[in-house]
Amino acid sequence: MFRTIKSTAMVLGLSLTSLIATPAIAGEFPTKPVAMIVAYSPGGGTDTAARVIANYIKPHLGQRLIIQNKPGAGGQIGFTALSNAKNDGYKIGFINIPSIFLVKMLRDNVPFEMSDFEMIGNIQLDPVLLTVPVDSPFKTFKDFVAAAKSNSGNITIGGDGPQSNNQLQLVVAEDILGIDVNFVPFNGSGPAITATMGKQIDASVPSASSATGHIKDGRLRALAVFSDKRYPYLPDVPTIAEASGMTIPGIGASMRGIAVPKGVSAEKRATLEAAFRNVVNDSKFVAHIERLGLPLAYMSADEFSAYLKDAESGIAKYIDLLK
Amino acid sequence: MEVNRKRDIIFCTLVLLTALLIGIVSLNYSLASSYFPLMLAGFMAVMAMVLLARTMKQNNTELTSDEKAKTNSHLIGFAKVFGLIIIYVMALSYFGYIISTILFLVSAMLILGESRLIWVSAISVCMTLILAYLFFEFLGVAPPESMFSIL
Amino acid sequence: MLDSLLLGIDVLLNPTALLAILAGVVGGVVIGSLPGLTSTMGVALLIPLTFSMPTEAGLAMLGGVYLASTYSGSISAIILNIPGTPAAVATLLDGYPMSQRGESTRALALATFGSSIGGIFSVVALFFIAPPLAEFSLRFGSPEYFLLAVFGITVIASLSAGSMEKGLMAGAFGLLLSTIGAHPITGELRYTLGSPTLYDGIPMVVSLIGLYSIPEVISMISGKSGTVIENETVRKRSAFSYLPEVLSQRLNIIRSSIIGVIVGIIPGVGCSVGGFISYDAAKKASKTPEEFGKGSAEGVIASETANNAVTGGTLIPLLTLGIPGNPVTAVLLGGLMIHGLRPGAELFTINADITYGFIMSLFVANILFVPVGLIFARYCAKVIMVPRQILAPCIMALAVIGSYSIRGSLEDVLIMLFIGMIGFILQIFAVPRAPLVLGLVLGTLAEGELARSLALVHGDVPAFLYQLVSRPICIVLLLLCAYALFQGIKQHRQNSKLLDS
Repeated sequence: MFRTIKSTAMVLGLSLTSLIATPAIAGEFPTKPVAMIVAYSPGGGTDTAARVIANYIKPHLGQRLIIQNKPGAGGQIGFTALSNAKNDGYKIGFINIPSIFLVKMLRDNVPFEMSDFEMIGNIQLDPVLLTVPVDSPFKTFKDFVAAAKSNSGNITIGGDGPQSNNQLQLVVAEDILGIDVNFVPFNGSGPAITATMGKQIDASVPSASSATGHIKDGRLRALAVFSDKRYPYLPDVPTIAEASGMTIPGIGASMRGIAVPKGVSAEKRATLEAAFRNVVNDSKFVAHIERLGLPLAYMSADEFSAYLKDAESGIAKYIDLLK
Repeated sequence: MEVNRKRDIIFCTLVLLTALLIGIVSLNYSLASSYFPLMLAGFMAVMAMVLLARTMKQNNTELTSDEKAKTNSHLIGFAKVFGLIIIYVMALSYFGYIISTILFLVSAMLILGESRLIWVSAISVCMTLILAYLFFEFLGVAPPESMFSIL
Repeated sequence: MLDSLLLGIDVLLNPTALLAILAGVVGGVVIGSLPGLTSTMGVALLIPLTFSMPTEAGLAMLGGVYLASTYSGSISAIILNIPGTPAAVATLLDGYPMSQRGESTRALALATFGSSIGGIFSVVALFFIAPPLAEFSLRFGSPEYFLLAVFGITVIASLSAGSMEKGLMAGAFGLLLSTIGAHPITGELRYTLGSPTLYDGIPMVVSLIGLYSIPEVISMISGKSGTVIENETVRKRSAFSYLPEVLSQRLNIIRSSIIGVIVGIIPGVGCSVGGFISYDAAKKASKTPEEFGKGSAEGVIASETANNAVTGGTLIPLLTLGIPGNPVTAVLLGGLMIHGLRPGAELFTINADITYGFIMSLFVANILFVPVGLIFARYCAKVIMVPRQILAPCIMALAVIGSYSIRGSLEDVLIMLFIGMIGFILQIFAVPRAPLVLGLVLGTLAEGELARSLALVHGDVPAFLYQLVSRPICIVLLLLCAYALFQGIKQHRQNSKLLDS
């Protein structure tokens, strides 16, 4: 019975799911499709990135990559599912930093530990921007800081939230710069950008990828990017260090990487790591990602793990400001 | 308007109890997060009392025995549907999609009074496969994970 | 303008693109008509399929899915009393009674032609006046959204057949259900019973399945919703013979289309709100408002025309400003960008050929879903001939798998069952369900935007109230609310008088 379904699906050019397990051929890992848990709904930014990867990874992995959406509770449900998944290497997960830390640190009874995961590699890094309407009186970041100091607590800044990576980045900046602004949470970076363009708020802290198109169209002006390096799609926007002269860690940057539940054998992890490293260097994949305006920032398993250690202690320092 | 007083009284009592319960639970949350639901619960309570007052003023119509029988058969129907779905959900997490769905469809059809076994089994298998194709193949949703994962 | 039209038509002479539209429309009709499959899911999961297609074909297919799935929610609403999408809830109010009278072909034809006309109207608006209209979408701040939600809530009066108090209670309960989960501003978790499944609230589709499928299955097996044999005269007429009936309601169509486009332009509101507001407006303008809820042709046409007019409306800010108005268009945006359609200033200049090609394919999709939908509906209508003891288990299985697949969670099935219990209780006590759906649709908007408006003025209530009476769009919305209230009271008085005499 399933043969017929299979052939119909192929005729229609549809991708097959794990429903029909490819007969196991003795040999190297992987011998059947690998499933990747995505902790957000189909169609969101994380899901889109995951599906683009899945579309290009087959030649590098030797098997198809199947997306399994497990959305809910700001990622908690998906991350929990990953931590409980079988560690045979066929269940991997797309994890979001710093969301995974925020979920863990801000909530009670979160049933996973960071030590339940092992890292395979990071794919993307999407920093936070400070943007204003294009005709705003704030021409530079310094103008903004001056206004925030003279008019303490009265500048309204919108952003995804509450308790998001964007808000985290803002409170870190407020703390280091010694300013106080009125943060107003919106249902995602998109609505916050819309409100900025409509001048409902003075400024916003959206993710760079969601604001790039509007900045290039001349409806928004970016005053700074909260990152050590300039953002590749917006080379004219100064980094926060260049704009303010102070060091503000970019721990609010949203990263998307690959992790597995702990206990996956070293060889399998190495296979997975190589597959993801190769897909990130695949020119067709890169061209596709660039059309979507998603920023790639590959990190190997070791680099990614080291980054996470730093990020964890950095975020822990500021977590109380989000509560 | 003709109303059945008894039924409206039961309904208003249910609404008042719900509103009260929501009010009590809301006390656990800060006012900033709970003023909106509190307002709504209050509004529901007020409406229930208005309806209650109006019901009292109006003429009561007794339910006909036909209507009573209808309500009873609905209650029995509700119990069947509720029970069947609960068992189905439990089966899904034990036996996986294919087996549970076929079993669910067959037993539901038999319980609801279908007796032509060939029809029952043919339709159950077809429906199971159609749903599998639609959701798990076409839309790529991952089927429920089961303890004895056959599918 | 003529050049751009030619540019667009060029695309349509391409058979691949036409085939892609057809595939999208067929897929969309199936997805929309099944409760549990949403247009958002449909578009999201089909995007990878378009990766390997030529640009025009890929875009055309996604557009076809969006438009057709918005329309086809009405098919199951009319035939089975189970809305396939939230947007079909207002259609159900009159479509189902009509099909119970034995006129399901008529109801389906009215819904199909209404949808098509509304959709075409909105594409024309998109084609000719998108840029100026788009600026309007930026004028909507939190106070405006809040008042829009309040205005939407006033529609409850029109949705409450029977007792007004019961309708209001159902509406309030819908709003209450929408407060489950994290507060939109403070982030505090409420009424979650400690379960992470409830942190994001109850998904709309899960509620909809529970609220309509479960009570319908119960009526089915309790033997009270009998098989309706189609009326002899209706059966003999072809669906196309109802087109003049739709076209004769010129005012209704124009009003509904305009309402749909305006609601569509406002980001974050969505198709169902357009349908509800237009239904309400049609009822108020109607010479026979007492027919509404009992199978009024005007009601079906108003709701369907408007909810498909929303589709073109949502594309206006999407294409010109890159602002998605609802979850479907948010997903669609990703799909458009993959195919090189960059929303914004370059849209009608550098990328004009792609843009106009896309718009033309939407135009075709709006026409194409008429035959596809009618053929599909004719087969679906046969479903009601299936014996209840076979149909009911199949609907239950669809309800279970449908609510499971929204988030891949069996807990959602239990939530669906809980909402189903509420739906059943409401039915027993003769409480209308549509106001509850309206409450669910508007709840987050009402609560979130009220809290956000206050946060924007540092919690200063007088300052917020001053905003409500000083911002131009707020004043218009306040007047609309006042009018709705006045009408509601007038109607209520009339009804009471009628009863006294």
